[in-house]
Amino acid sequence: MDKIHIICVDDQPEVLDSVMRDLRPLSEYVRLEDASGTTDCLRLMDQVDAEGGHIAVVISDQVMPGETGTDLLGKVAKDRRFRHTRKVLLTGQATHADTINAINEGQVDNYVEKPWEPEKLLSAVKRLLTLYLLDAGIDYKPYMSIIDTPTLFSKLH
Amino acid sequence: MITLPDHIMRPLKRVNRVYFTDPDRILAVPAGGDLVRQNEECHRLFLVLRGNFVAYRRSETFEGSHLPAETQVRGQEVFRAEPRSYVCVQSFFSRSYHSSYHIVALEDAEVAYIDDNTPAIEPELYGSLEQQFIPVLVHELAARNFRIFTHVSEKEEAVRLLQRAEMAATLSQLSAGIAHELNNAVGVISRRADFVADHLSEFLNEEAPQNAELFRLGYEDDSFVAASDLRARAREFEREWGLSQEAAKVLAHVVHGEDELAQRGASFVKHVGKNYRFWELGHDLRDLQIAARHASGIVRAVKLLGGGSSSRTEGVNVNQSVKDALSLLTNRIKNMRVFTQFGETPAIFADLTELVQIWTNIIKNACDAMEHAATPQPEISITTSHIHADGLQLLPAEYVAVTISNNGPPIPEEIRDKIFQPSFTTKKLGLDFGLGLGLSIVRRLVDSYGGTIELHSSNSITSFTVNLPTTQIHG
Repeated sequence: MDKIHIICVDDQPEVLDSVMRDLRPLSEYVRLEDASGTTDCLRLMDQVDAEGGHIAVVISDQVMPGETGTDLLGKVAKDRRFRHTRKVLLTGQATHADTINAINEGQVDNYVEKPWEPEKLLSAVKRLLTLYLLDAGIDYKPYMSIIDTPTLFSKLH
Repeated sequence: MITLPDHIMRPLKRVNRVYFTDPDRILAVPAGGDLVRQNEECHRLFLVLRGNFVAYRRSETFEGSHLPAETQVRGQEVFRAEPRSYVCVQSFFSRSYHSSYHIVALEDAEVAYIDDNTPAIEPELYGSLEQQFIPVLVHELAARNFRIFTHVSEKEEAVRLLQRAEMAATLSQLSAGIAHELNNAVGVISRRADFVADHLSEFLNEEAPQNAELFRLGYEDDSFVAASDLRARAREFEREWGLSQEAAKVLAHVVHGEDELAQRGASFVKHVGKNYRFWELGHDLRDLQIAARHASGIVRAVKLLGGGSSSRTEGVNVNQSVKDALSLLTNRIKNMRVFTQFGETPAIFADLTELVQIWTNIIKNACDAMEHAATPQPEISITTSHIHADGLQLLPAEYVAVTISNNGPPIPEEIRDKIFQPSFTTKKLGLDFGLGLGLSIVRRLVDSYGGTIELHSSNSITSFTVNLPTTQIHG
C-alpha cells in the first residue's frame, strides 16, 4: 500500500478526536491514523512500514502516562526507516527545559501550543508534508491540492 | 560562642584570670533575679561565669502609661548572655554608668565584676586598664556583630514568610474569583450542549429515526476499547465493506463483534457508510460534556486548595463521612476489594464535605496508583478508631484516626516529602482531579483541623493515617 500516513498521538481520546477532525481536509489524499500513546504509536508505525506505507508526519502530545511525546519523537528520529518523517509536538504545558529537550532529543520540526488554531495546525502539517514528499523523493503531483506551494517552490529553485 | 584569633584570646584569658577571679567581686544571681535594671546606675563591668542571662529593653514611650501590657512592662528581648560573655561593657567604658537593659538570670547564675575603682594590674607590663581591656572590647564588638547578623537574617526570614502568607491570601481570593467566572462559562457550555443534544435528538427522531439512533449511539458512547483494537476492526470494515476510513471507524465504535454485525445486517453498514456524521455529531456533544466536566472538576479542586468557604458544625460523624466517600467512589472502586472496619468514634467539630474530600482524595490516589501499576487483586482497607494519647502533652489528648491502606506499589522514598505539595504529580494532567492537587488538598484540610498525616509505605502495603483531634485546639 503505497500510501502517505499522518499519525496523531494523544492519550486523551477527546483531544485526539479534535486533532483528527482538524486534519480531515487532508484525508482525501493521505491516511490519518490515531494512536493512544507512545507504545501504540510505535506499533502502528511498524505495521504501516511493514505494509510499505510512508509516514510523513507524527503529531504527538507531550504529557502522557509513561513516556512523553519528546521520548517518542526522539525514538522516531533515531529510526533509519523514519529518517524523513517530520515531527510535531503538541503541548499545553511546556517548560523551558521541555522545549530544549524537544529540540535536542526529540528533534521536533514544529511546536504547536494547546489550544491550537486549526488553520495554523493544518498549514504547519501541509508544510511538513511537502518537505517529506521532497525529501523522500515521492512524486508530489498527485498531492498538489494539499501541498504548501511556497515550500515547494523554495525547495525546487 | 565567639571565637577570636590567638593573639586576642591569650590576653583575654589573662584579663579573665587576673580581674574576674577575686571572690570578693563574685555575685550569685538566683534564677529570675535581676543583674541590673534598665536605666539603673551601674559602675560595674560583668563577666558571666555560670548560667545564662537575658537582656530586655523597654521602649521609653511606655514609661508611666497606665496598665501596660506584660511585654511592655518587661520590654522586648534584645540579647542573651552566656558564660564567658561580658555585660555592661558600653556603660562601663563610656563612663555613662547607666544600663540600657534590664538583665535577668534565666537560671541560678554567677558573675564576676570589676568596678570604676578597680586598679590596673601590672600596668608597667601591660599598660593602663583600658589598654589591657582592648581584647574585651574586641570580643564585645564581635559579639554585637554576630547578634546583628542573626537579627537581620531572622528579620529577613520573617518578612519572607509574611510575603508568602500574603501571596497565599491573594491567590486564594483570586482563585475564588476565577472559579466563579469559569464555573459560569463552563456551565453555559455544559447546559447548551444538553439543549443542542435534546433538540437535535427530537428533530432527528421525527425526520430520520435511523440517524437519531446513530446520533444517540455517539452521544452515549462509553465503550472502552483499546485504540489498537479499534483501529484493527476499522481496517477490516474498510476492506470488507469498502467504507471510507471515517465511516469504518464509526462502525467499529458502534458494532462490537461479528454477531452484532450479523444482527444489524448489511443495510445498517451501508447506512453508517453514508450517515456516519450523525454519530460523530453525537460524539462531539458528548466530548463537550466530558470537557466541561473536567473543567469544573479542576475549578472545584483549585477552589478547595485556595481555601473555600467551610462551614463546620458540632456532631459530625467520621464513620459516616468515610461511607459517603466510598459511595461517591462506587464506580471507581468496583474492581477492587474494599474492607472496612469502623471503630466507635466520637462526633467531632467538622465540615462533612471537607472530611469526604479528604477520604476521596486519598482513596482516588490509591486507585490511580494501583491501576497504573496494574496491581493484581487490588485491595483497599479502611479502619477508623478513637485514640487517647495519654502522656503525650504536645498532641491533643484525643483524636479520631482513619487509616486508608492499599496493596499497591510502594511510594518511593525520594518523593515522600513531595507528594503533598501542590502540582507534584506522577500522573497525567487534566482529568478528574488532575493538576496534582489531590494530596495537597488533603494536607491543607488536615492542617486546618490541627490534625496530622502519617504515611507508611512498604512493598506490600501503603497506608495513610489521618489523625483528627476530637476537640478544636484554640490559639
